[in-house]
Amino acid sequence: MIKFINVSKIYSPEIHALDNINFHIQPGEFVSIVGQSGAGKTTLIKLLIAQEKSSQGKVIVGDWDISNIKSHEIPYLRRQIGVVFQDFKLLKEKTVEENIAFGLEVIGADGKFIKNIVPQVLRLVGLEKKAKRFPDELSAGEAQRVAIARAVVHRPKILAADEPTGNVDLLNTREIIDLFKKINEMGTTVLLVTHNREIVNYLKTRVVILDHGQIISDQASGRYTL
Amino acid sequence: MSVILRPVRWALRSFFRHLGLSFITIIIITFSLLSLNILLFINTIGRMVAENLQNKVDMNIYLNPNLNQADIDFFKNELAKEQNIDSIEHIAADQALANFRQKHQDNEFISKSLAALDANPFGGMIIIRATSLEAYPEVVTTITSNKYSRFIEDKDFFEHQKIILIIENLSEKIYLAGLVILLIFTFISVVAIFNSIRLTFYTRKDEIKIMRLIGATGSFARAPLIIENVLYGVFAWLINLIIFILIFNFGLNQISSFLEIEKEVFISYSQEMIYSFLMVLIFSIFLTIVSSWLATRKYIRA
Repeated sequence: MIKFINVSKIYSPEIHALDNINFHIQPGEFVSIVGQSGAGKTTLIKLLIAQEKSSQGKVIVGDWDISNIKSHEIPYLRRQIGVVFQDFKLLKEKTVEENIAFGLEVIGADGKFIKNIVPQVLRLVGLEKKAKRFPDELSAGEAQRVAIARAVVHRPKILAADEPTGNVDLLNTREIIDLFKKINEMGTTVLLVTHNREIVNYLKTRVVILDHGQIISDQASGRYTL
Repeated sequence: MSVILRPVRWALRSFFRHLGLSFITIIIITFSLLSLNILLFINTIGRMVAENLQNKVDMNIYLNPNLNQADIDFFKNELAKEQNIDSIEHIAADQALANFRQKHQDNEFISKSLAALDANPFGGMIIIRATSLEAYPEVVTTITSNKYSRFIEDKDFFEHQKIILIIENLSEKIYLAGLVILLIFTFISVVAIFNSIRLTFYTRKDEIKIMRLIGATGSFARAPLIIENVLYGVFAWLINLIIFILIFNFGLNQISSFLEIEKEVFISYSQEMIYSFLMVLIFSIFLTIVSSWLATRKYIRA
């Protein structure tokens, strides 16, 4: 599903964000990418959604080599990958349901279809009563759940989450992680980037540990041991 | 259909959700368009005044008193065939005398001389208006030729030649000056409108970037924002239209008497003013689209 083959990202001679990364994620897997700040975790996500281009190597999503993707193709790549960001990245001028609906409007979904699906997704993330609220009126945990809802509403094959619990309290963190597990059980490949040891150890799924841009460990049912 | 309706719906929604920003932007564009419209209006008035003056310029030909009616009719018919002559008005001998008396009523010598005469010295008068100011020299040449010399007692247009030249000169200068000022203010309006739209996009740059991260194409992210800005331009234009309708309705009498031009002349120019307004609308829409497109270039990168 996702392949990183000899991938390096070099910003300058002194800054090698990623250094000859090789790994392969199978469909339906739940993979935690862990490491300390500056290890290259976010750069990995950026390469995956073509926000950056690799300096060397290949990034393959499905059968698509996105290493040299053209700018007009990028939106079509991003529609196949749901992304959840640490700072939520919600559209402040849209309500909760409008934010979620946007994920479908972008792919050209029909109005009736959107009207049917959005309430279901709101129920999935437990926010059916907050449909008409604006992002500024939500707590951090609620905002992140809206972001997750928007990321999965169009049933992408891949969900990439970059430090999704970074701005969220402990109680909501557990709920959000459980949500990711539920989404993974429904068949979506989940790539979770985090530096939170407790989350990783709680999940007991595949763990890829990054350190200074290199993979130092890749265990099927790992723990965060850095 | 949803491809068109969706961005329009979003644009309207955003317009009302950012009412404060919408209001300020509309005000700025309104003033920019108002300065343009006022200049166009003044330009039109300037041309109207110049053309009105031109229409008042005429040549008086005093007819030989020995002409009979058949001669006068023949002369008029021959003049009517000349292509540079727009209109011919015949004033009978009695009326010519009365007009002459009135024109020189302050001239004691002429008044006394007329009183001493037994008979009417005038043979009637023909007032000629040329098709344009530029045509007068040729009309003068025609009238002073041998062809018509037996019909003409006297001519009264050498004074008018000076006036004609002055008016020609003035009209050209008014037109050129108006054009230069209009161009300067158009440039100022373009800069004001472009910057005000750039500012609205700057406040929404994060929104655009997020849309792109989620998978929106550049045009998908841009379209509602462009439509919203076009709405600003249209509303600004409508406000301008209302202002000018009010001026026209309630101020026309005052403007007409100030410029000493009949109201009907203004009304006859109303079609031209409507075209000007429509041009300003097209200009406003075109400018808001181009400004929006340029302003989003920086933030629309994937």
